[in-house]
Amino acid sequence: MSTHAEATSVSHEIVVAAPVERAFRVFTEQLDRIKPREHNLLSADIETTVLEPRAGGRIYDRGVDGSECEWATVLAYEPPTRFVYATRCCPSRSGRSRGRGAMPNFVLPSGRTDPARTRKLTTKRQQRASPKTWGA
Amino acid sequence: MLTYQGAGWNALGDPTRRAIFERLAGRPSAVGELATAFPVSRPAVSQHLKVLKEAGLVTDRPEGNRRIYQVDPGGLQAMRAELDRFWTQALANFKEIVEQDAGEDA
Repeated sequence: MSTHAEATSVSHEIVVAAPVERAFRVFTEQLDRIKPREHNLLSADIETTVLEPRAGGRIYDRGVDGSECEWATVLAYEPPTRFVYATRCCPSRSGRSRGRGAMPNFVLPSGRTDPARTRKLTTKRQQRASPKTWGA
Repeated sequence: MLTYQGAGWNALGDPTRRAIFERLAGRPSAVGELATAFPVSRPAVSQHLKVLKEAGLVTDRPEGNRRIYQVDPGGLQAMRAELDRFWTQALANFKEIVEQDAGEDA
């Protein structure tokens, strides 16, 4: 795993020993097990994290008390090589207005298969980027 | 629980507050200067600055009879460190899960 420190972005990268299709599926279907539970903006413990697997889908934590914290929106869901979601820096909670504090941050995991059938997954969170300007 | 420090993220979630913060990043300013630059009242600017200060994102110092506000690099560094911790842990979890259960679907 390597980390690159730049002025306005945080970028992490990891290579895993799995076919790209599986790596994509695990990341998007099991985010609940991947996301560190201590990163929690709810006032209750997190029961589960839900990812709706489609462009425009929501990513949210559900607390043990039923409260919800929607902290990201899926921008691109293109198995098995491209998955982009934008995080909110001020997540909406149930009962609060949506759309407030819309998201200056973007996360981009991207995958490729090499001859050893491993997948490289990179994430990059860049502040104040916009989907349109994100590098193709 | 609540080891996650959400104050910085919540503080920057408000668009006006974020704009004030960005302006301060370019140049330390007094409340009056900010109130002139943004379409919000002086008391509203003060309230935004209070939230930013409580989140550790700005500091203030007296200069004559005014208070000058400036960005606290330590606050930004803390938010950045949170992101680094998050992704380091998340990717380690991902690697463990995706490799551990690799036999599930051949």
